[in-house]
Formats: sequence, structure tokens, C-alpha cells
Amino acid sequence: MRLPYDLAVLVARQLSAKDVFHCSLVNKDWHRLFTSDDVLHPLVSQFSHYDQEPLLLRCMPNGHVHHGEEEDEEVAEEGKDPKAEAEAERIKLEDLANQQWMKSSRVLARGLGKTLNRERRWRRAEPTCRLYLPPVPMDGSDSDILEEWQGRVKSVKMKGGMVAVLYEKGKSIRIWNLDTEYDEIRDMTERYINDNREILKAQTKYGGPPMPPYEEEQVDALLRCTRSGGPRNMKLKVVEMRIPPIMFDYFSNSDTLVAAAANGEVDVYDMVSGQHQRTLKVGGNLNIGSIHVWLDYL
Amino acid sequence: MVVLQSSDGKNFTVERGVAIQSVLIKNLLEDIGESDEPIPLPNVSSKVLEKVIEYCEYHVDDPSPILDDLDEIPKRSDDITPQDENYMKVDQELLFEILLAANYMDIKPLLELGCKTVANMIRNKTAQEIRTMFNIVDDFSPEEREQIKKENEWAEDH
Repeated sequence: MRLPYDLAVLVARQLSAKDVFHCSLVNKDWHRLFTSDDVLHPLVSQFSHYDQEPLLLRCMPNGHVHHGEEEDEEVAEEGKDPKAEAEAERIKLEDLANQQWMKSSRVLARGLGKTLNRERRWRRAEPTCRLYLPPVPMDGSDSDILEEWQGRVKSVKMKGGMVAVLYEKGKSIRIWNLDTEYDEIRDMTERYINDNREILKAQTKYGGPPMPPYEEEQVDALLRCTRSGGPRNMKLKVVEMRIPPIMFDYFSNSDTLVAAAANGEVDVYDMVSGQHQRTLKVGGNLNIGSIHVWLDYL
Repeated sequence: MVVLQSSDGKNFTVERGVAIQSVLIKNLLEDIGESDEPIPLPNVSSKVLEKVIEYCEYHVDDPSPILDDLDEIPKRSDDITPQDENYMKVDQELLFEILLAANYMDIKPLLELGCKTVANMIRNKTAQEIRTMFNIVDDFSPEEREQIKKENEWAEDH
């Protein structure tokens, strides 16, 4: 474009994802411009919230979500408490390090690709992964079928990158973690924070010293995680039930699984250890119609 | 009245209200106060300045643009008035020069109008159509083209 870079960026920001993609194929100069983070980052951030969720939520070492400026100000007011201050700083650094993934041109190109293909993916309902539930065995052995077979699937829930299944007999709840590949990415984010702590601390909302990019190999690893349709390295966790439940819910950030039985007893389990933690009893002749766990509340 | 001088030495006398739509000139007038001396605009030719003044005269009664914090968010570009659309019916060379002048003189609404106009020219066109329109040579080597194709497998339908 016969315009200075900053003006060309202003023009590019008026364009749709599809137009930006076509522009990136015009010639080398246009390719550089239309695949730069100045153009793609706002575009992907604006139009692709769904697609960037895995990046924003799953790369952070402690799984925190960006809280926005309002809460930043709140934290500043609470700044006198050293514990709160340290926590606020940790979240800020994690957020910055996480956002830095989104500055990689290849990650942005993936974001653009997902944005362009979203409608097609939704229209065709292409699965992003496929789980085989028992009686199809995990490893194909007959013994697995016999031991794990607990009747028909009673209910399935998917939340926080996990799929949990309850069977008719209710001996256990099987939880597949689809996010294990992100463990490596979370480690990388943590290393990035440790290596660039001072640079990250110096960032303000008006800018700061330039933040180094992630290495190309690290970006490769992230792109492997976010490619839809590819095989996933799922991990299975089986949580044994104290009594057969009729319904369940879980919240992965607090590793809490709750299961309600027909007699009004609600069991709370730790999803990591699989240990039963406590039982809550719903009194009277009330029947439990549904159960939800959100943060630490049940 | 304010006198503006183009890069080729031509003077244009305009009302103050017209001139101060340019933040550059507004700040300058605030700094130097009232003066009969022409304000030099060394980056703007008389042909372009004439067009810029035409825009400012037409929009002299418009309310000040709202400055928002959402500059990063892509904006719609299908809200150009017929008058502005007509104003922007110029050859490409002049269009780009108006954009540069709007940027230099800091006339935000004109800059936005120019960007929207260029964006509308690009919209819904293929890479080849864009090349033809702007007379751009495709300088990708076969290897580079192959690499880009590989990176963009997901976009084959587009």
C-alpha cells in the first residue's frame, strides 16, 4: 500500500477477517503488513473470543483469567496488604505473559484461520475430538470391558477442558482431561515469567520495555495444542463414588466434584486425589432437581 | 480569518472555524495567538490543501469527534454519507495524498473517512483483484507462495 505503515494499519482495521486474509496474499509488503500483530491482534481479539479462549484460559500457570482495568484499580486500592499486592502482581505477570502468546504472528494466523473457518466448522458440526466411552475399551482389552462396564451412559458434562461421564450403575465418574497438552505450555509461560520478571513488572497500561517473543519451538508446541481435529493426549481419572449418584457437577478450577444421590445425600470429592471429602444432607422430603458447583459454592 | 500556505507557496484564506478542524493548526493558533502571517504547511500541496479545505468547510458545523479508548477495535465502514462518498470520488493518487494530509494536519474525521474509503475499495476483492486495482506486482517467489499456501491450508475455501 502506498501509505505509511501506521496509516495502512488504520485502513486494515476497517477490514473483515476474510478481507485481511486476501490482502495478506497480495505481495510481500502487504503480507508483512497484514500478518503483523498490529493488524491481526485487534482483529482476532475482537472477532474470535471463542477461538482464543483456549489460549487465554489454558496457557496460564494458575489458570487465572484477565480481570480488566476496573479490578486492577481495585487491587491498587488494596495495595497496602502485602499478600494481596503480591497476588495482584502474580496475576498481572501471568496475564502479560499469556497475552504475549497472542503476539506471535503464527498464533495470530491460527486465530485468523479459526475465525475464518468458524462458520464452516459450526455449520458442519465438525468434531474437535472424539471420545470412546465404555463398553468400547480404553486399550482394547476384554478385561477392561468387564471391569469398567457400568451400564448405559446416564449423563455427560463438558466443562473446563474436561469431559465427565456418569453411568447407570453409578460406581464411579470417569473424567477425561483434554487439556493435558497445555501442561507443557503452562510450564513455558511460567519460565517466560521467571526469565522476564523485571520487564513484565515494568509494563503499565501505557506500555513499557519491549517484551521478548516466545521462541519458535514454543510457538510450535502451542499450535499443536490448538489444532482442531487432531488427536488429543487425553488423561482419564476415575473417581469412585461412595453411593451411586443420580446427578453430578464439577468445577475444575477448584478441583471439586459433587454428586447427589436419590436419598438426598450430596458427596463432595477432590477431583485430583479422587478422595471423598464430606457429605451434605438435604433434609425433609425434598427431592434434588439439579446440582451446580461454582467456585467454592455448592 | 486564517491564512494557510501550501508547499508550493499558494495562500488560502479560510475562516478560523474551518482551520481549527485541524488539531495541528488549532494548537498552533493557541500557541502563537492571532496573526496575519500565513501558516506554512510544507507537507501539503495546493491541490490537496484545496480538497482538505473543501472538506473542512462542509463539516464546519459538525460536532467535535468523540475520542474513544477503543481505537484498537475494528470499526464499521459502511456509514459514509453520500456527500462524503462523493467528496472521495478522486483518483487514487489524490486519495492517498488526502489521507496523508489528514494525518499530518490531524483532522481525525477526514482521516477516518479516507481509511474507510480505501477499506471499501479493498472489501470483497481477491488478492488478484486488489493487485489490479492498485497496480501492484506480485513479488512472491514460487517457494514463498508454496510456504504461504502451506501455512494457510485452513483457508482453502476462501
